[in-house]
Amino acid sequence: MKTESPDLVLTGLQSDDLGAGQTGVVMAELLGMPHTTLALHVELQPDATIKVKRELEDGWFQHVEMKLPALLTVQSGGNKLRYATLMGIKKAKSKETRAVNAAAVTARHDEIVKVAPPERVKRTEKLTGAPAEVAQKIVEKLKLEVKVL
Amino acid sequence: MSGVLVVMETVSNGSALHRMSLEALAAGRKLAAGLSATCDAAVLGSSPASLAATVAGRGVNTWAVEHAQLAHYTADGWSAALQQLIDQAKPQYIVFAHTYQARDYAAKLATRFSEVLIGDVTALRVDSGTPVFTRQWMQGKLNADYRHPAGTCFVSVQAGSFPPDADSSASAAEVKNFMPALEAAAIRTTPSEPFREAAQTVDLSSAPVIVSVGRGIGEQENLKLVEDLAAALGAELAASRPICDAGWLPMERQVGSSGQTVAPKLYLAVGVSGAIQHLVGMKGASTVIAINKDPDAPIFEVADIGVVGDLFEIVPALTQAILAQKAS
Repeated sequence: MKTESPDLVLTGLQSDDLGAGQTGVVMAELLGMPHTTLALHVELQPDATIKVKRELEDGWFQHVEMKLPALLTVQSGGNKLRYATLMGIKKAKSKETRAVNAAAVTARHDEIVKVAPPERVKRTEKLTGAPAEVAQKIVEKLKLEVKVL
Repeated sequence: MSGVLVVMETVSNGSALHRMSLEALAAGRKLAAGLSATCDAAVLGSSPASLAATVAGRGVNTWAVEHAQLAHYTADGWSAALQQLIDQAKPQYIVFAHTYQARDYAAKLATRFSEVLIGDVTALRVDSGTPVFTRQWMQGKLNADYRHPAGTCFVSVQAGSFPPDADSSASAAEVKNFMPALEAAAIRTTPSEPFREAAQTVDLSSAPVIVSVGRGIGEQENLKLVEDLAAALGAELAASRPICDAGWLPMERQVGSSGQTVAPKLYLAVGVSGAIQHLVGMKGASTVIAINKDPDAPIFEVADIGVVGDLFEIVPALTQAILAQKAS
């Protein structure tokens, strides 16, 4: 990344699998760039500055300004997904791709000792049957146990 | 190097503690108790003294980390101030609440120490002197236990995983002042005051019955199914993030870490898979009923009543049955 000297680096907010949400934040620190997370919109201002709308908790937002080069981690919902068109997929074959060698990974500091499905903390009562039967069973529970009917 | 340091977060104007800070403090105390170590706290701000005294009132020695540059949160300001505090106080464990703010800088701070952040931790225990931290993988389908054998260990804890610290009867502990050296030029971002898009018109937090819809609904046209169900039940309609991202329902109907936190009598989740970010917003519900076609969906981990099946068949049947019951 350093050899590319980008003006703007975009990463996702977090992955679906490990959900760590750290790639962008760590990369900004290693590249010496300012960053912000949870970006929804970005506007280019004069003097190579960007104004970023970012999401806060509980329905609040905030604008953050910073000079380029910068790194943003992007929250979902700010933009419509753009899927590749058939023509785009065909054209992609003629685009340049370069392979680079990653520097040797240093030893990790944390250690994963066990991965297992979570123990159930709640006993879930499974209702089965045809849709009408299941619906009737739920109604009984809403009336007698949950008492919302 | 020893001990635990809990970084207490404040609301954006620094006037009060963030609600999750007491959960982080509880986690920090639990960790310290297991290690027979001390637990300290830190409050950052331009005038953190009074909040630091509030925290110290819980019997925790508290650093008041004070600088004019800390009037508003910035990743650069918080990282630099805490880096200096950690260099001086030398805690072995630094505990954060896994808030939006911690997600913005905790990994950056850890990187400065050539360390990692063990983020979004849902449980911790100390096994023969060694802490083990649990975090979720695959949106909650797996639990992974982490250890951190040596060096400074940075941990953030998930909302609702530790009951808020209740120990306020202890005799007040000490407030220690810490003045970090911060250059204005080293803070490279300029934050604005937080704002809302529009006045919130839906208050899901007080709704007794909520019908919530997720990606399983497939198409915007199908929303009518759950709208009819909500109407039959007299329920508020809520949604998971993807539904609001797509613009099918307004953002104010979103439940989860980026939306509203709800605690209704009944939460009926239709086609909601139950990503962690959604579960933290609704796990306070008294009764959870989930309808989903995937028997392994994490929503079933928190459901009292589960129906594995096709929502397009079950939901209309349920709406009918409710209306029939009401008419009888």
